Amino acid sequence: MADEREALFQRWLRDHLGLIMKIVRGCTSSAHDQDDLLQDVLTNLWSSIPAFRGDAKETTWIYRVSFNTALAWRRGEHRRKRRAFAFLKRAVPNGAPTIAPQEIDSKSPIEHLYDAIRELSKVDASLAIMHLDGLSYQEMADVVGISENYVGVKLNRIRKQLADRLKGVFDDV
Amino acid sequence: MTFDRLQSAWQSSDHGQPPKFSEEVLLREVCRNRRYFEAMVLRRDLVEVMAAIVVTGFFGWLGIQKGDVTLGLAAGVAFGVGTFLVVDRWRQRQRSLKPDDTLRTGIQISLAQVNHQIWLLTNIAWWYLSPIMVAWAVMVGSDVWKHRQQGSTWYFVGRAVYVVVSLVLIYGIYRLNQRAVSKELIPRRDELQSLLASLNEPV
Repeated sequence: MADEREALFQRWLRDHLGLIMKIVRGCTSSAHDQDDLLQDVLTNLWSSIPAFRGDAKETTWIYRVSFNTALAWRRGEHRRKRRAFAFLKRAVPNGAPTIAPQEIDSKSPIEHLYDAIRELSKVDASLAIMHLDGLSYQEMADVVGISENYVGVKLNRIRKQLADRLKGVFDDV
Repeated sequence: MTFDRLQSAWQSSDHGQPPKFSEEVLLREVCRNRRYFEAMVLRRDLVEVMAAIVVTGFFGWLGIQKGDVTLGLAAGVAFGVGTFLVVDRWRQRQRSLKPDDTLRTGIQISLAQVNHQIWLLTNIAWWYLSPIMVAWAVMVGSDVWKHRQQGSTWYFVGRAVYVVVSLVLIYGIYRLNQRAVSKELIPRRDELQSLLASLNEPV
């Protein structure tokens, strides 16, 4: 049972860590905050595994757990857990650089897009990330808990907000 | 710029992905974090329960030894406040977020928890400070009454200083809690209310 749980978690990390990182980056800006939120997301995902029975799609489950964690997350609140600071650094062989991609990819168009997403409310940010990831309206409605129609209404507004914010940034993409 | 171009840029970007993770090491870190968090919660609960038991036991034992009813009252107050805290924490835990809850449910649960915290701290004078103050006032009052004939001036001055310092301390605890409500909890509640309102479909 414990082995199954570990195997599933490791597979989620392999297959969906990119997705989780996008959520973490979309909800926090500094490397410290990203590290902090990522710890919480991964810890909550691990704790959620016994409740995962495969009724929901894996990605829907991961989006729900991750966005709920991001919604509840407050900067500085978990500093008491700093024992595990630079959590990711320890998980990467040879101490290779971990997150803080903005340092590597200074103000690339994608970083501007992340900035624009972070300016949205957390709910709108979650819809924007899922929409950019190509989820269907039905899937987004399932994660957020609103109707498909309302997902459409909200996405129209979000698209406009993002387009206004990113005018000129994506011309050369 | 169309949204499709934005989406295609998003999907084709590597998002500055971190280098290859060691899943096993990451798993170990997560498990350690989880154990640390669980141990921290358990430790906090145990400290609260133990503190209530020790204070109740101490005053109860002292009350029996000395045949002093006021010490028995202090033991009763410590037991009451401790029980209230433990039951309240247990009840709140029953209402915590489940992993498969939607974001809307998550916000509703967080809002209920924040509202409860606001209620708890706003009313701290009633469920925590007042009972303690009543027991404390009875104990001090009874002690002063016993020394009313043979007590020296310094005894009464000492008691007066003790009363003033204790009152200032209790007021300080009250103000700290009210500050936490206005600086942290009310802004958080407003934020959650506004998120929840944004999920209500216009009729």
